[in-house]
Amino acid sequence: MTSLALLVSAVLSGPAHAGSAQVTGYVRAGARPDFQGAGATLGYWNLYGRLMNEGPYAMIELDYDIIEREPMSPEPWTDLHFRIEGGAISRASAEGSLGGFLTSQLYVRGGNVLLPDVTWQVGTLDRFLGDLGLYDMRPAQIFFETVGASALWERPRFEWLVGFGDSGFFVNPESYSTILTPGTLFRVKILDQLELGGGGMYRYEPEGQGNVNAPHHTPGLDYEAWIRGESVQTWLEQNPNREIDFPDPTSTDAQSGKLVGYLGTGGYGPVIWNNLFVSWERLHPQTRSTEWYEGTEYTLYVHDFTDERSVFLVGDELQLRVVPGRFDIAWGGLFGRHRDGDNTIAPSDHVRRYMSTVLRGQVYLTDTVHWLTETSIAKEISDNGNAYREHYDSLFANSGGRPDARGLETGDTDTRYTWQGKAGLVLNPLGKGIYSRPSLRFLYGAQYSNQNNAFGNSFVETIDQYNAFGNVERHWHHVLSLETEAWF
Amino acid sequence: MADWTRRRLLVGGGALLAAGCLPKAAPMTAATPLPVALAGVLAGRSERLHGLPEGLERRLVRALEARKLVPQVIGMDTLRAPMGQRRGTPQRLVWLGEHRKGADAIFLVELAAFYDTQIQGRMRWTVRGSLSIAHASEPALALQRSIDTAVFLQFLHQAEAEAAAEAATTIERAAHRLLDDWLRAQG
Repeated sequence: MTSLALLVSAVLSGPAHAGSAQVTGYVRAGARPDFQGAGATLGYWNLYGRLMNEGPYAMIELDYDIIEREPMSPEPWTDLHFRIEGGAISRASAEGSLGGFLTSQLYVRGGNVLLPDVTWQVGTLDRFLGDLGLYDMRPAQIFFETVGASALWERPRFEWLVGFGDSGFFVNPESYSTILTPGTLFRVKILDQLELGGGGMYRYEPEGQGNVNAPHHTPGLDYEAWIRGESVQTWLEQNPNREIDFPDPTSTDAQSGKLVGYLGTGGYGPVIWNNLFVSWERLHPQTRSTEWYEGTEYTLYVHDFTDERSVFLVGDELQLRVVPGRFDIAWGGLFGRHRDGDNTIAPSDHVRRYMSTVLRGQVYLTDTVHWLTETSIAKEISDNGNAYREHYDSLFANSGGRPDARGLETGDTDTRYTWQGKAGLVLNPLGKGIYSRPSLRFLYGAQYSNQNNAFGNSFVETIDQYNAFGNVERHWHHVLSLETEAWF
Repeated sequence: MADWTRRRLLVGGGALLAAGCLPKAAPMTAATPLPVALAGVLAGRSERLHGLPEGLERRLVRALEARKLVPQVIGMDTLRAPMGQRRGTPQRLVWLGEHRKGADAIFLVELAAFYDTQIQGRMRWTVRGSLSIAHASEPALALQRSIDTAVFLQFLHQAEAEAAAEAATTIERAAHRLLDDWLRAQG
């Protein structure tokens, strides 16, 4: 703690140091002419590969070296990082307001203070053990939502991070309640060609009697009625003329956590590197929801309805140098399973499985002009009934072909299949490499899905006889992309 | 009509590809082949100095050869102790001038790489350093170029050597300009 106090005082109360400032960041933006006039992404999300399935994004980080690190020196150093990011890019997205950006990271680090080879960090603590570039996912990530303090001990073949903080403002930004978050992460290089990592974090939201933002549960509610948004109505029907007796919430505590694992290997034969990540997360329970009934808004505390949600993820990405200097590939796979022990009746994002594979090949026509080809296939399964609409008139084709106005299903099939293919020219001024950036890409992409209109759109879905725009059955989607991506 | 369209597509595609191979300005060259002692060191967090990554060293050798400068690469076994003791560029240039082994000029590349932060799935590193070239007998009159660039590595296991290799294009371009300026000054 002494060193942390030293760090903070060095920044906040000490004399100003004329250190060096750098700006770093990330951008992706471009035009996505959409032949079907839809939402300018090829599919719904990056399960099908992040390429052409993500919108524009910008991230700018100020990295201010208050005391610069000296090479080959154990002297103390300290720096400050301040990051702003968001997807509101005028002309490339629906919004262009700076209000669409958020200050996502702010932290101060100090190294070689108190302990050699240890970097102290105070502020936001986000840390990951690498990523799946094809999916833009980081399963082995902890402290994404946490602000606090951490210590990272680094040796040439080993690193170990220990941190402690509070995730309350991220999890419940509008109704803060402390969520204590300890965690740890390690990585060990067993051989130059093999390394292992792992760790986890635990979130604990203490019981807080009298605190409206602390976890509570409103007793006497029916789960199915809550899913339908009718729990107040149901309770009042069961308890006529007893509005005043609507149950008060009872306080409780809330817990959640995440475990992550990592295996990396490569640097032999054609294998550049292979990242395998595993994660299991118990999601933090939701605090409350609201319902309107007969002109009155009711706040319902729903801890017990939302405390059994979990996500299991396995992801792998392999990079191969097939023909050195001419042809590389990146091949990824992802499996996810979301469970919700409370929900056995309704399709939901919390009760589903998905799996996909993405293969990208890049041919180097010259050092800076490349040809990119990518294909992906994915399967998504709703484990609680039909969730996807195969046909525009599928309202008439719920289970057994019978319309069910009171049903909880949201489609006519429980499985969505998606194929995507993308190809085009890529200009990489910095040379060869699938992940060489900046990239200027000129791509064409196509998608086939068994789901009707399986991409972001604003099409009219109603099959009301007075619908003036009509409905369309469409399973193919075609998009051009003139886009750029760069770290800087 | 179909042939005409195909021809236009071929011409357009060819022009696009050719844009990647636009001719570059010819570099300055020495009047006669000139031996140059090339020394490169890479520093980082540890107290041990490292040599330049092979790919980067090869590009520097090519930059010298393209200008009729004959590179004599000094190995890390020879450099590690004296360069470790001498941390300042002037002192290192003096040592190099005294141990040039017949070279007429000395070319010193000093790099340091530091890990900065994780950003959008990548690991940001800063590569700083300088390139110096001088007549072996006049190290104090060295011509210099400094480098301060950020690179983004994909994997956590990658370290100083990979960061320097990733910055090779920037370093190579700095070398081209430095060598051209130095040769131009030689008349």
